[in-house]
Amino acid sequence: MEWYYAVGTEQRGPITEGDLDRMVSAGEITEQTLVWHDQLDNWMRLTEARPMASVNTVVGAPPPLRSNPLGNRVGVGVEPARSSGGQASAIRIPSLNLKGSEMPLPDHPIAKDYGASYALKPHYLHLYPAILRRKETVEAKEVMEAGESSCFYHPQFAATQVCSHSGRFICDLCATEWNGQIVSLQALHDAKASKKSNKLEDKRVLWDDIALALAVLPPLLIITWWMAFVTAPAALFICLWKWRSGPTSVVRRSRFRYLIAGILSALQVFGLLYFVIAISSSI
Amino acid sequence: MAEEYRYKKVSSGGGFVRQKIFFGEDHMLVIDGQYTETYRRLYFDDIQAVVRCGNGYSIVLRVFLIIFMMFSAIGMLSSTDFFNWGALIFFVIFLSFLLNSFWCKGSCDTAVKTPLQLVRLPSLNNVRKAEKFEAKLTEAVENKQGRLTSEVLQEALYGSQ
Repeated sequence: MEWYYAVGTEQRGPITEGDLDRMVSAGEITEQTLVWHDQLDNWMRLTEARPMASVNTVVGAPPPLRSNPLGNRVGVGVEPARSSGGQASAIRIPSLNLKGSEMPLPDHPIAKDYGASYALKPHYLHLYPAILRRKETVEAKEVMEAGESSCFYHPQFAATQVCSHSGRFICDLCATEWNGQIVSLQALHDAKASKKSNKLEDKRVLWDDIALALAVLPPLLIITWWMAFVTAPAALFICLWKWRSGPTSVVRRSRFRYLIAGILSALQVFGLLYFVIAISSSI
Repeated sequence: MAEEYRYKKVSSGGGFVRQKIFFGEDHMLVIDGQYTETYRRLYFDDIQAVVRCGNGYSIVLRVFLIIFMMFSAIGMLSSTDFFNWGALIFFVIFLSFLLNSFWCKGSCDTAVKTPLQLVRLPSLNNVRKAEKFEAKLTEAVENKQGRLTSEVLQEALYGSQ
């Protein structure tokens, strides 16, 4: 049997069954490549065409190869049909429903109902130009000449930049960009430790939420009202302690939670005091 | 004094999901947690794709809501009085949840892909929310990266032929 296969919109072949096997094992033809032989009505993917192949060797001419031979709407459910050879053909998108399964890139930046054959469920993908960007690799040049300055942190490497924060000479391995300046990773680490920039922080405690929860939850749950003996003074203390510094979240928040927590906890404290005094006087 | 960054809220989670998403000038801030916030910053320049996949939660929810509505309807009609107002209130509540489920276009899992990771965003748990988020993200990302066209993508995939 003689096979034809598609590369882009171009038809190639005929090739023998043996050639086809060899090209499949070499990765030149993938399971998604469009193929045709004389017993097929139209072009189809290799995975679909292979089971239908027989030893009949009647040779005919393949039908014309259309730009979208599978007849799908552009960008809907279209999986890469052509044999891939570009630099992006190795890029994979992990699926969301099946751990470990990945999908090749679709033909269009926006793909609906895509990848069901890879991940069992169709996915929606929206690709941005960064998907085609090559991964950056940084190499530092070793100090070769006597006149060259060496990196402060890696004396064996030549310095190529100056850290904007510390003024130290640094190599490409140490340099990074921060707020439009070249800084060393150490300077960045120091800035994070000293909390100079909230852009570098990865965790914060929300004292306003804690105070509000302490003030509201024990009386709200009724059976835990007695816990207010502890939680109400604690909430009041947090409100007074943190009022000046304000809410701690990175995103902007008002002091509204402190205000509510403060009023509620103060009412509870006075109520509990009254309760204790009333009980003790009656005894 | 720490530098101040202005953020705009994009998604605030909902239900049991404790995740909020904000957009800054050059990055997206994903905040997880209730009393201790954990921050993840995804720079618009690094975002490669938005991935979304439908899941079956909304179907299960709709089935349960329809069953509850049926019970409420039976309660409404089986009353010896003219009308059982208590059952009617439950019926209306379940109906509003059901209509909301259809209005949200079903449940889904959403994630953002960067060169190093796939960041899942459980706060974007329905298609309507995810679409709104995607529109805003696309605007922000395309301001930084430009637009990816089919021609460029196909040339990168198959080479110039």
